[in-house]
Amino acid sequence: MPEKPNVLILSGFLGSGKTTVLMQVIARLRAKNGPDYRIAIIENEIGSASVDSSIIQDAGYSVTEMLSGCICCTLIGQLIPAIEKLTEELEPNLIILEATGVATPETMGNNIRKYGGNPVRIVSLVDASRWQKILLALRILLEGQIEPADVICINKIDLVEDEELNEVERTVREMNANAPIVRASASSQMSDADLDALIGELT
Amino acid sequence: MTDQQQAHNEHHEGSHNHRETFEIHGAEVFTESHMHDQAATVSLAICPNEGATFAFATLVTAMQDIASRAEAAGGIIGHIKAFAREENGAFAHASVTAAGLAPTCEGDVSASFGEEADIQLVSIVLLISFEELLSICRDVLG
Repeated sequence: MPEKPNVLILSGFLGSGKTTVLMQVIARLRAKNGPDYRIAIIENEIGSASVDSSIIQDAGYSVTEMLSGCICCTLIGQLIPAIEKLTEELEPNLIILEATGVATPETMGNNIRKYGGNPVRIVSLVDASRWQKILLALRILLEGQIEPADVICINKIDLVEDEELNEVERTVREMNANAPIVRASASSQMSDADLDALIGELT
Repeated sequence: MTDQQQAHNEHHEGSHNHRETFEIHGAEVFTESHMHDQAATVSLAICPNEGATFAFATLVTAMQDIASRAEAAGGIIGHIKAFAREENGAFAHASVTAAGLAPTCEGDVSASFGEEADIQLVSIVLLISFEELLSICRDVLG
């Protein structure tokens, strides 16, 4: 049985930039570790089709899809077998799991650690431009995405003024007192330092 | 299917994986829609008729229209994404996260795609029903 790879969970509300960040993280990992560094990608979508999978596949990466449900609840029973199957077939150095934007990562992270035995790192994205609006209606969901994060990326900072950005960070900090916070505009190329901050010690 | 999935599906019977097909000019649209917690999800696969092509720009306009109508109905846009890819590699992608904002686009958004192409439109909107979201999508595309 191959060694259990680390798992990076990319979490964050719909449209927060998870796929954009995912592509840059992959490129950074390849640059650091060479072309033989194997990354397996799991895409979770509550819809029956994953546009993000098509985008990632078009960039040349293979993707395992988990559709029509959420891996923190309805598809939870399929997650560990999917990780084990990928490990067996591909022997990846790292598995990146892009969760659906309505998922909360704590349960999936705990299950992966407990039942899969894989080390897990949770990266949660925040859409700075919509945070205040979404917070009013969906605070519990956002708390569920921010609280368990090992690192938080406040994205789309180019779309907000400093005052609003500081308020976003203040409320994020209320939800998670300890995780490092990276401010980014992932629509432009993120810096190596910022990407390394998201990746952490996984590699 | 796991016991958990079966129990989940039985609990959500009638609201899970609603499927229907409708026709628009030059294409057939296959839909799958459901609620996940507060999120209405409508997935559309657009299949151009034999000999016909479908302009991606139509989807870009439709996405903005769907966003406006969904917000007017009290919804919060999660995301609305469109993707099209031909077997020869031509592709286009667009994404909308709020009404009134220009979509983020990649690829050749001025292209038209034929009957063999993979053309998808996925809308996830919170705080409205999937029936309402599907009705909006149908009205906008029709």
